[in-house]
Amino acid sequence: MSKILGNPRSIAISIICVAVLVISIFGGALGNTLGFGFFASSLPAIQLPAEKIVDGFNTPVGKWDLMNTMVTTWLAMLVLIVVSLIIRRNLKDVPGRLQALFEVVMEFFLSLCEQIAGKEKARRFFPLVFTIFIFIVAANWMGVLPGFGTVGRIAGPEEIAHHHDAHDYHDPALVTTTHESKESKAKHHGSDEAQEDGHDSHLGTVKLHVFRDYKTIPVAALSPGSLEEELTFSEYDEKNGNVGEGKRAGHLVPFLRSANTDLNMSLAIALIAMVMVHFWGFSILGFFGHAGKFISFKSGPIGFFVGILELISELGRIISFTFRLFGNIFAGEVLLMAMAFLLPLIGIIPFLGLELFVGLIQAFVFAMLTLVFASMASISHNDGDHH
Amino acid sequence: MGDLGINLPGLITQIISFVILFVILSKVLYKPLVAKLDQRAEKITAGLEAAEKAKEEAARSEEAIQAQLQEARSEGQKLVTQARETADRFREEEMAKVKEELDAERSRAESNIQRERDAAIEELRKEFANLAITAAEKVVKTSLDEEGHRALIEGVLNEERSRNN
Amino acid sequence: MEGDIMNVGAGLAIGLGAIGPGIGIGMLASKAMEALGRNPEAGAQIQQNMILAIAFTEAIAIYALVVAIIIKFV
Repeated sequence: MSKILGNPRSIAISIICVAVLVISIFGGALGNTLGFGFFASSLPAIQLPAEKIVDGFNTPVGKWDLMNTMVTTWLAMLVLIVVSLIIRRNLKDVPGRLQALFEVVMEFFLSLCEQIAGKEKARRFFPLVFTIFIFIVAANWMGVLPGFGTVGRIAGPEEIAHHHDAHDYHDPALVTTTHESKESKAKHHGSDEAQEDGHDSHLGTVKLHVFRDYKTIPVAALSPGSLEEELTFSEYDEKNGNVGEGKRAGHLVPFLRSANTDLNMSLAIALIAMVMVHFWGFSILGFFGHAGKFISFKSGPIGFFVGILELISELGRIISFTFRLFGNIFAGEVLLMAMAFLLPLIGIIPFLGLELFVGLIQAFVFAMLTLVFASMASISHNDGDHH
Repeated sequence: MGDLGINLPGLITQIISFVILFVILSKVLYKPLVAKLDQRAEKITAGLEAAEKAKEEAARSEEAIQAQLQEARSEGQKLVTQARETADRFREEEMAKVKEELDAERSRAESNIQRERDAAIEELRKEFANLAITAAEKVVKTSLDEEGHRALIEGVLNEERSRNN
Repeated sequence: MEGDIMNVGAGLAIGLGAIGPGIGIGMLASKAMEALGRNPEAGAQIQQNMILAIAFTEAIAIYALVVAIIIKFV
């Protein structure tokens, strides 16, 4: 004990730890109530849909915009493809580290497939199951890297109002900078605001954050010490959009956001998984063999009703697939933000580990359930009853 | 749906992205790696089989060696007994021969001795007769003639010999 | 005011909706552990069925989550 205490290095380390702890407690949101809070940034606006980075183009099915989750998806894809190309180039009989890692994981999933689906079907199910697993793991783990959710562009008040269905809100800062016929504009502006208040009473309480405006570089970040600099829409309107020299109000739109916090992504994987499951069902059992599970007249009205119920439960599977992944990862992101807000520097550390674990488990569950559904779909109903 | 963030273009984009990833990974990663895994598994099974076979082979050759050894040992045993038998026979023959020779030698010696004894006895008798004649001559120098005495002694001696025989 | 009540509703939706699945998952896991203790060789089978059953149970909590999200954000 005295050896540990006497060692100058351990003393220095413990002093640093205590200092970080004190800074994080007093600098965070907790310290803010005591009058400190010098290190805290504001809790970012939690938004369910993915945010738009760049305006896109119109397609027959709607407007396509470049979303931040798409960027992350493509990054995860890029990483996986590059890694697999590297593995393929250095494919050896005695594997290197990277190849050995992938071989271990692949062997685990292959044996899992063989265990659950049987030897001959395992090879059919394996690629999809493993792709689901590896992609979700990659996307989830990328989501806890620094820079995700904290660096991005600033969305101005008008864009935010647009998200809240207040389509005719005009940013007073932009209006006042145009000097033509100030009177009429002001009148117009006033009438707009009245209309605004009538339409959307909750817009007034939506909070805006104030960021440093770099003008030339369209990048912002959640910076330490910006906690008090937030204001509501009504305050913003009162100030006439003037939030200070070299500053802009708005929301941060991160360039990178964990891919599975977008319902589009998890729904896409769920749809692909379920479509493939039923494709396998049809191709292994034949059309009537598989369809007979859902629409059957053989066993009377009760059997018919059970079939319909099963059809509905298939729909439920898609929903639970989608929202399980989305909910876990989205909640994780919110948790990380909240911890960074409450206890900056250290509060986030254990939760980063937790998020890594949750990301792995969710990927495994998704892949495993796909596999189980596939093996269930590929055995005929009569076999299934005896199971 | 829009408020949840689900929109068709985004959904289609993500589906296409995932399918592209699936196809590329299947081609680039799974095919070669699974082939490699299979190859390795095959190699391991082949190796195990070969080891099993080698073990069997070793056991078999061990058995063969044992059998050969056994054979050699019994062969040796047989040779030794044979040699011993031969030696015994040889010794017996030799001994019989020696014994025979010895017997022959002895019987010859015995017959020699007999003969010599007979001769000696004959001589001794002759001598004795002469001696007795001489002695009797000396005793009865005058009264009797030589012829009468000799016949008398001869008769006594013959009597004696017939009694001896 | 309306927004406040909606927040309360969303909280109640997920909070109450998580009770049942929480108990269910706990029971599932406890039974699975018992089975595992009694029959350790069947570990893989038990684990697989446990994960499947947990997924089905969890789906109910997920429906509550969907409702809460819809109340809160939509």
